[in-house]
Amino acid sequence: MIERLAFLWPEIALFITTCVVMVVGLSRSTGVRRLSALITAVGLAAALVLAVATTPKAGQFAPADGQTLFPDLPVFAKTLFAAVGLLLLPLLVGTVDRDDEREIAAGRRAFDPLRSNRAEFYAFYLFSLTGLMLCASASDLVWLFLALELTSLPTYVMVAISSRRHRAQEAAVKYFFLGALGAACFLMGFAFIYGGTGTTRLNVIADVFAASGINPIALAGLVLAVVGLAFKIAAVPMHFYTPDVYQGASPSVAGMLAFVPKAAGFVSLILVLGTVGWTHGPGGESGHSLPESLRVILWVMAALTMTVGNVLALLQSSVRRVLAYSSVAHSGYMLVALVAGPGDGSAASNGLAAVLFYLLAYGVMNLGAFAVLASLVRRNPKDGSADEIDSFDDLRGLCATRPFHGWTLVVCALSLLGFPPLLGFFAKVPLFTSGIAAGEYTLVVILGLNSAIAAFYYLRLVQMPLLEKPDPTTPVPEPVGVPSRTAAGLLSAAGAVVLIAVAGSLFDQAHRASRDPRTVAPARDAAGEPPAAPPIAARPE
Amino acid sequence: MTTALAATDLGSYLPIFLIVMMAITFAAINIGASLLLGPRRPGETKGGTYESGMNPVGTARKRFNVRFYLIAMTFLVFDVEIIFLFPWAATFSNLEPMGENAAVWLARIGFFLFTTVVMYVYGVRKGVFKFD
Amino acid sequence: MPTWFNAQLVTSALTIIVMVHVILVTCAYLVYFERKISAYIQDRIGPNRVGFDFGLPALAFLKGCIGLGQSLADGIKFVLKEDYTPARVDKVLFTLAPAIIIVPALIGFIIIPWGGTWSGVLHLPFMEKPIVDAGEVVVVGANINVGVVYLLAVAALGVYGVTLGGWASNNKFSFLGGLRATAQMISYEIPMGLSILAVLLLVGSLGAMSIAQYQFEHGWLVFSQPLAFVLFYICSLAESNRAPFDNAEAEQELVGGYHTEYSAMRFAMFFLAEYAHLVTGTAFLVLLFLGAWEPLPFVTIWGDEATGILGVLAKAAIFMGKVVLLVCFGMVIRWTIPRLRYDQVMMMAWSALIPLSLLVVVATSVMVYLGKTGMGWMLAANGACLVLALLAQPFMPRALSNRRVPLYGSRFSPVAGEAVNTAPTDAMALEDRPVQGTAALR
Repeated sequence: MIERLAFLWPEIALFITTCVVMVVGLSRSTGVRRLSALITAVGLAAALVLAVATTPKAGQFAPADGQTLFPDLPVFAKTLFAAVGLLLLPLLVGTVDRDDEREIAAGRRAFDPLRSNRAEFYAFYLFSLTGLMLCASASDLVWLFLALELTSLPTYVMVAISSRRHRAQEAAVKYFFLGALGAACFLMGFAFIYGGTGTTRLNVIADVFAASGINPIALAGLVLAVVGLAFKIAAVPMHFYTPDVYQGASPSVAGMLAFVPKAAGFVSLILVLGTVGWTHGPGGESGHSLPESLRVILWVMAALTMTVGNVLALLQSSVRRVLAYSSVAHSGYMLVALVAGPGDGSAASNGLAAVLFYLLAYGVMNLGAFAVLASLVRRNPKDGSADEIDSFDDLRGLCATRPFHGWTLVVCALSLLGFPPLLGFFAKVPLFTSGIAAGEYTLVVILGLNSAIAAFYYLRLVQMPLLEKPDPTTPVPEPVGVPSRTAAGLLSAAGAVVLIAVAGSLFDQAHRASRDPRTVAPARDAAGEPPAAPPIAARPE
Repeated sequence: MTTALAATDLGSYLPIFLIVMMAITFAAINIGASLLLGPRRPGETKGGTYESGMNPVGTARKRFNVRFYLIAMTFLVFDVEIIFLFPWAATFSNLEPMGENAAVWLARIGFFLFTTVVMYVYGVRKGVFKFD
Repeated sequence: MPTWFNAQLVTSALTIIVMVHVILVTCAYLVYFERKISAYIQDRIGPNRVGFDFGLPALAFLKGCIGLGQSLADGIKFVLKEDYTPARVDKVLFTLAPAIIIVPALIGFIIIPWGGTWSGVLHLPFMEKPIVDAGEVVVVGANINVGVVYLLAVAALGVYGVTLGGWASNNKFSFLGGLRATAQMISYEIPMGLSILAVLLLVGSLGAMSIAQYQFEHGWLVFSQPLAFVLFYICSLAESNRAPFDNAEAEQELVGGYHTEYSAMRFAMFFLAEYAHLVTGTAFLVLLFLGAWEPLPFVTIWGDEATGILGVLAKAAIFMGKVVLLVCFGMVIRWTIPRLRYDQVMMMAWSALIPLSLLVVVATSVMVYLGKTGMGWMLAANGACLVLALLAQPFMPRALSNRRVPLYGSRFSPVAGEAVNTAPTDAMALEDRPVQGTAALR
């Protein structure tokens, strides 16, 4: 029991940081209050180091202490979450209390802890990341459920406090109620799985499924769980909230929402579907796939999610709604790889690795797009009020007027599109290869078509800042006064370029993390080292 | 001795049913008797809301201070915690002192209490416990 | 015969029927005691006229009786008064609230083992064989093994009646009183639960009998957990909404609080529930800390040995006597200490009692872990807690406003160096003349 703590050091670091931030952020002294972002960063960095250094790898723990379906998943996923979390932090800086702090600094108002949201904002962000990491180390359905709720509950509040507008509150309430629906759905699913198998431990569930097949109750549970988790990843039956929430929340929080719940959803999906395994029935060349009913559901979900997301994104005039629908579409892309499963052991056929790597890439490049929106305001010439930029016209000629922001947007949009030399391309290729390897040719064709549709709106995001002339009649968008957001955008754009260099090794890591030990024929040596991944050339053609 | 005294079967809960019935009957009889036996002389002024002789302005169905909600929420945190602590308290002293099991449980509950203390400190800083 | 129908059930039923009446009569006479005590404290005489003669010449010798008939007269009066329902109240809830408050108040006491263990033998001296021989049973309303949790749960239900009464009255004073009472009761429930926890940690069981047994073996818990005892006593005073914590019905501020609009028996229900809560809470206190039915500390006379029916009666009498003594002590407190201000009451719960009780729980759990649960060790731990609390006290949150501010012209807190004239200064006040407009009345 105590040994399970070995998985939890990053979470413990995050939790302690949360406690500190919660108290520090409410200090009467402005200087101390300012520290909360820094403390958050330190905690995240500590979590990153701990995730790499302390998380047990395959063979280093007993099956009672962690799940053995994907024994190397925790270390990869936690490192990924901590890294992206660290990258998201500068984007989130200054979301709450900026106006209040300005008034307090000017001496117009005294500090009132009841009105201040800074402590809660960072604390909830850390709570959310803690839940995200707990998802990755879940070995039990109850644990998984609690972790998912810990991930999503703080985000509801973060949406509500991210902006003083009523729209934010409306978005939060909408998000909360639909989130509760989703949670009820997958909790019901987990309960059914428990009813069908008599256990909540993922390993044991997998053994039961392997030994005695999937009975109808458990299958109903799996379906419910998948549908409920679709809310977290904004996939089709549960995607309705996405545009409203992304538009209602401040762009920085929307940037976070595009990554954190999605990552939690996909990791949970991998774990839940991992209990079934992709070892049922014919599935193209690898000879295996999910049980037919689950495969069909996921197949339809993937196809619809991609198509709905992309087609609706075409019709939007608000950039944030475009990004929201594109986030739906990206979930659809990842679902294709999820249908394909871990493949035959080769890296190219490993769809789960493709999902994990795509999460990383998406987290990095999507952040830049939101960072640009979050770091610029359009000042109304009449009354001097600042308004967030949200329409395509606001981006006109941005590369000329605000080169940092403009180029960030161009690079990120191209990367999101999957433009060849950028990170998005390298992330998208494995989706295709794994789909083809699993024999899902139709789905891969739909994926290709959708990538083409996506080009329409992504290229508008490139064309507006790069090719259009700035409109001389409207004022140039001004920086919002939080330089760290610009920095976050630049980092993201740089990441979309630089990470190409290490994309191969990163993908190998993802491949190692997501190998299903049952399909890979575990031939471990005495030291417990996993066998090296078979070279791609050895893939059976 | 202890086993003889600690009844565990559901039959030992039957008296609770009895006393609940008795209490409800007691309340019903008393209130009913008073309604039946007492005089009845309604009046317009008499039927008005008593607010120290002033004519009441509006109803009492109004919004009230948000502090009460804050107290209620903080109470929930503590109360749920206490409920979780009861089973632990009832079994903790039966563990071997200084043993490994006891240490684990002390650490767990210590962490549990620590989270509550953090909540408390947060509440203090947030001004939840300011009642003036 | 079903297995659940056994000697214990019959004993329980009998105990319940007897104790309900005992408690109701006790409550009635506690009102009398209260009036007497308050009268003596305020240098009055108190009720001394009503006897049991009912105005009948034949019963004239029952006149007087130092006013003992007062409680009966009050009860009859409550039934015969007009039970008025104001026009704007929520009719259903207005009737339901008194019932909702009296039910939890009356059902809590059943886990109290008034008479300890009874041998189950009823042997009259003039008879050959015992008329009852049922084996050992516990003289308790319900011999359940989660007694403490049951009592806490039931006691917490009392807050509903208060809230509903305040809400249903549709009266701003009532509503405020109900809100205040609710906030106060839930606030003091926390230190109460935590101090019980400190006791349970030592006892290691949730059953009422186990708590009594522990005290027979290891000495009364008031000596090993004095801080928990004080905390529990303060909380039980505050839970019953009585002075010095009676902000819910502070006359100067809220008329009568949540029962402003109530009259006749429905009002009496609130009144009775308050006293029944008091009796139950105090009985719980006696059970937890004061050795249940043992008359003296450090001397075990009966312990948990089974006794005959006379022993059971003696034990119950001692138990009840302790309860009444403690309740009377509570009355002395009520009529001695002035009411705390509402914010002070809440401050006391949240920034003094709760941290202190948490500290006591932590200290107790550490002592239990170390296996040092003897009285001396526990006293040392309590002393350490007290010292820690005193050291931490300056850093605890405190009210920053609402303190007494120096005020120009105030004779209570004058501005420094100010000479205050307390004599009347107004010309009108100095003049000796009748109040204007009264001439017409003469």
